[in-house]
Amino acid sequence: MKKITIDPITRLEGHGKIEIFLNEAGNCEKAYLQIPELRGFEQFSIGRAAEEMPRITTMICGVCPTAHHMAATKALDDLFKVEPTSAAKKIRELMYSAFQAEDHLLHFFFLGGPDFIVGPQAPARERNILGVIAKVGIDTGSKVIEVRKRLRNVLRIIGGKPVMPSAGLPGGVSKGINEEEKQTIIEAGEYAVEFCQFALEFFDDIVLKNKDYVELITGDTYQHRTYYMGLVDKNNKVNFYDGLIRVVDPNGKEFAKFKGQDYLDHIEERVEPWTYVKFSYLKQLGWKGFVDGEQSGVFRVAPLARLNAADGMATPLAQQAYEKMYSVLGGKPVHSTLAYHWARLVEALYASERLLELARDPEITSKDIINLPTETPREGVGVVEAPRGTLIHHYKTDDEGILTDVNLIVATQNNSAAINMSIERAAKSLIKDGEVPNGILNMIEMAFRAYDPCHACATHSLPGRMALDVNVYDTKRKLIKRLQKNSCTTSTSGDGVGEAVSNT
Amino acid sequence: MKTIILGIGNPILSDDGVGIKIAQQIKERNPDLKVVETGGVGINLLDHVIGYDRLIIIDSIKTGDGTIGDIYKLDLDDLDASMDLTPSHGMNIATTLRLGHGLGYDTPAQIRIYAIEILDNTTFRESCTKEIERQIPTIAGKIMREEQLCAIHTLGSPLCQPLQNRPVSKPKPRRAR
Repeated sequence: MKKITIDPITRLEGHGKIEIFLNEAGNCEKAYLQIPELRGFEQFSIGRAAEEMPRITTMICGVCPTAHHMAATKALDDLFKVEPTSAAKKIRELMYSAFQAEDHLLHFFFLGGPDFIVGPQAPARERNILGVIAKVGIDTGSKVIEVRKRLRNVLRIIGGKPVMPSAGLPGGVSKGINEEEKQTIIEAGEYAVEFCQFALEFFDDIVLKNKDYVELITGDTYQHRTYYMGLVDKNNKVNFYDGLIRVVDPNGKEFAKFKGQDYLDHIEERVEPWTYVKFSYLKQLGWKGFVDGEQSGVFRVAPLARLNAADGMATPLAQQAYEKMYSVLGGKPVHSTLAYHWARLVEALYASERLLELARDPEITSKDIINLPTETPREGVGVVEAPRGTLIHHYKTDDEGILTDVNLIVATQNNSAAINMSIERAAKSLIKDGEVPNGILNMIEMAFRAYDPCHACATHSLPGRMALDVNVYDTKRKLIKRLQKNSCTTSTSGDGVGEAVSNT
Repeated sequence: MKTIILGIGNPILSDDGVGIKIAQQIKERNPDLKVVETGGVGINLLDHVIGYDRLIIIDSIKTGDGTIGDIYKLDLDDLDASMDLTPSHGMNIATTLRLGHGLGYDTPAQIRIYAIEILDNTTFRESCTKEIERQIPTIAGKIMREEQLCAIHTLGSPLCQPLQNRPVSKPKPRRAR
């Protein structure tokens, strides 16, 4: 067996790569994000029974299995032309709310938050959850773990297991909720609502009272005037589970509102020769390149986009938090990419309140949890708001319900053009006259992380995270600088493969 | 000592699932062991390991330098240096376990990680590549021997001791039937 040491500069395949090209003046001309792409999901699915999809698609992503599970389940409702019972819809939405709240809180404290809580200038090795706990104290750290545990328990009660749930069936759910479980869920909801309020106060103290952070959020580096997309209910309030897809323009005016089934009339996908990642854009406006503004079809999804695309939140505390965010940031829509973190906390509060509302609903313990399908399947579309944005599953089958065609538009794909633009914007603002500061890596990563993109999240190979390299080229395509993870701080030696214990 | 074996991977993403398949083989050969297969990432791993004294993780790795099927034996310290920012969502194993310990959870004191050099973790399919598939039984055997996980250990047999601890005089190999 071999011995290996993995440190931040150990090259492992599957790294993400950012290629930056400079112009004659030594300023950034273009930046490209390249991510390894997973292949063959469509072929993998074709020939399988459609009802397998809610369980298979949970394996696409180790982070948001519940989002795929729910999009697939809703696609089956549509495919088999069966309307779920009222109680089943509530149980599904309850489960989905627990998932959203947990995912958002985890992102804020563990992944995105360290930039703010520990500080963007802190050494990279401290900017992680351990650094966060050192700063906020063990008590708060334990609360994060406790809220997560309780919310995951809700997923377990309804979905069987939190990682790969099995609740969703066409026309309903596989299992109801009993009185005892209802009480447990209510307690989890109460805890989560309280914790989210704490998290927002915490954000207020740590971020909003720090002038540098507020400047970072509102400054030019991370701004894009794009279109925004998200699901809304009949009152145009944010909804994660169901509703119509609404798009607003860069001024916040409604541009389109449509049913999930009509997504192909509004969203087109594009491939670029330098990456496997697909780019979604608004069909009506067309592709004008990686540019923002009213003429460009580039749109954004996920927390800030959802808040921009809606008229408010459907629960009282979240509505207050929503109003505060827009009042501090100067009205709707907000174009600052770093405001995604704030929007994420507003949404976590909404998800927790909604969870509690549904848990207290007398119908939640109803035994009427499924309508059996009777129609011949043909074609179905399911749309939900995943934590990382609008997620669309589209299936076609033969008369027996065997899949003949599968198309998924995943959340990150909808944001991929904007992610690339944010990276380029950060590079342009930081590289001047051929000078590439070391801090650029973190500033670029901050742009990237705000979207919480789910690139390569299906893989579980060590070390359990995707690293980013930044390569800078001059006008003759000569590599002039390579920045790798942590290269701007003290790092341990990159010995790579070391002592051999015994050969295989 | 309470031991848990975690096979980590995605069972529908080619060699990414090798950790799970090896864990299954180990369980088959010694059903008394506590073996968990998981597609969970980051903090979710913590759920499985609390309350155990000894943790053995089997996962895939793609260094690109090794031979397919190479087994790397790692300690938590070997992964510690990668405890930096996480641009994607996955918090690495070292961070997760240190976090659990830091928050006062009863996390395993003994941790060993086996990483298998793989070929492909980007193609959706239920089987591993043939290069990996045919090596799974051997790799499972090597890990079992190294960690003394064979059922025969409970009988105190020297047969399954780690190589360096084996008695010099080997028992005669039995003829295969």
